[in-house]
Amino acid sequence: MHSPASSTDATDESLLLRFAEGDMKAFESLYDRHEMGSWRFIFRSVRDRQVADDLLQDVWFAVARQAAAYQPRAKFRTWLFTMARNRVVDHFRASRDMQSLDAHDDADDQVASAFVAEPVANSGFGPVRQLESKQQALALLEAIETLPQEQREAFLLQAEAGLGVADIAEATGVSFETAKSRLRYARSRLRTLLWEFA
Amino acid sequence: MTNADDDLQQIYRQATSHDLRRPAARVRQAVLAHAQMALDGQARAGNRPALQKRPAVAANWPNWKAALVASLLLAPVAGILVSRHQQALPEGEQLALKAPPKPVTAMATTPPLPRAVAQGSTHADAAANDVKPEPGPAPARTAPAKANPPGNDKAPASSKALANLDRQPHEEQADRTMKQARPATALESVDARPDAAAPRVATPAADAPRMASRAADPLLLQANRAAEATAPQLAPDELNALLFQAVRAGQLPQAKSLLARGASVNARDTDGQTALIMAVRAGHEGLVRQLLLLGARPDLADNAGLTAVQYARQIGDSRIMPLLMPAN
Repeated sequence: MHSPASSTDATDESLLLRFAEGDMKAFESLYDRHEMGSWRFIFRSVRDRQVADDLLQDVWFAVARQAAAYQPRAKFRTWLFTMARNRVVDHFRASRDMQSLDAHDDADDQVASAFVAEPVANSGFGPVRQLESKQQALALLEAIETLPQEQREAFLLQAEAGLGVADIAEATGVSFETAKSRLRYARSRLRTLLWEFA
Repeated sequence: MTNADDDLQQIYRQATSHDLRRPAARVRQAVLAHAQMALDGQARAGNRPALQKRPAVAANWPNWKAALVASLLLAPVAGILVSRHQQALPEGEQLALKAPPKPVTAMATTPPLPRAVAQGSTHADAAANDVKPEPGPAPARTAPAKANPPGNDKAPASSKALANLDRQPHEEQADRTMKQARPATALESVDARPDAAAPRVATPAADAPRMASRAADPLLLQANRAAEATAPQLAPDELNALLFQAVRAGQLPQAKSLLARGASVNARDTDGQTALIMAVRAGHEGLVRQLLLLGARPDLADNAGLTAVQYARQIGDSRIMPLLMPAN
């Protein structure tokens, strides 16, 4: 049996494999490590604490059930957030609350084209650098909530899970270019909103 | 990634540090309890190498999966061969084959019992002693006023024999095919119900492929008979909706029963998702396997444009992925 201390240094993948071999402590370590990240991803997507709790529980139930079949070919993080994302999509499908990306394409293009001129020129010195207060940081969270679902999930998968574009594409079942585009639009929109806030 | 991008993430991290909202404590408790249950379940199933004292029987044989698939494929062929053999046999031998092994020897050594004495024997006994199949196709008969209740094994043999009188020869033939493909069960008595037998078989030729393929699966057959005996008739849409519910809940027997009753294996819900996609996403390996065996198509995409294969690839479930590969 591995000691709790060793769990802090272990990779996610090794913790899950240890759990699959019967080490319950490894699962606890894994859960504690990713509980907040996965919950925040879900919560910021569905914007309802109760629903977020339920979906989080559902995701981790699936992790526990499928641990025996897990093979460390893919990163655990990608696997976890893919499942979380699928639960969120299912929730939106069930509630018919999901916004279509197509409905935002035109607006995205306008925001993106409007953004290119200013923040790039101010990169490193503009309002983004000045947003350091608590109020300003919280304004970012509000701005995230205004993003279309697909852009929001792309941004959150990067910000919360630390996934790259390829992993985001895999997790959301879209092409690399589509994932890259969504991420770019999300960042453009957030920067524009923060610029306006500043 | 530019400096501005890094700043965006930095601000996000700062924002989350100010956000004191957390998941409820009950979630952690529930998750850990579920994980413990999953571990216990794996240990019971012998899937956990660390706790596995003795390898499972199948684990000693590396080709057990291939053998299982081969046996499933050969079972219907064997059923058809036996069925054809039975067609060529004289009537007396057919009846002897239909009866369980023990009564066969009894028939050889003892004279036929009168109908009153046959009380308490199996319906096959009664059929062997009292009932002679009609020589050719007969018009549909009216069911007796008093049918046996579903699942009643204790019904008098004479009434079961009477029920067999109402069965046409090709129905008997189809039943023999199925009986020889699986061991006898308590549900056998359901066969004697005239109301269950009448609408089930159209013609022997049209029904042979269906019977043969389903004879390969005893569970499906059992569920089929139980469902036919007890459940009311449902519209296809209702059956499909129930199938989706059963698949999402991981209820394999219910799903089989619904498919046997006419739910479409490739039906879609309002999101365009098939039962196979649902089973893949929920990680129900057994259901995926069964749905594929019953003709579920892994190449059908839902409204989001994703197929079962793509979902399986996303999830990365090593149990399910190989099942969906073209070779399988």
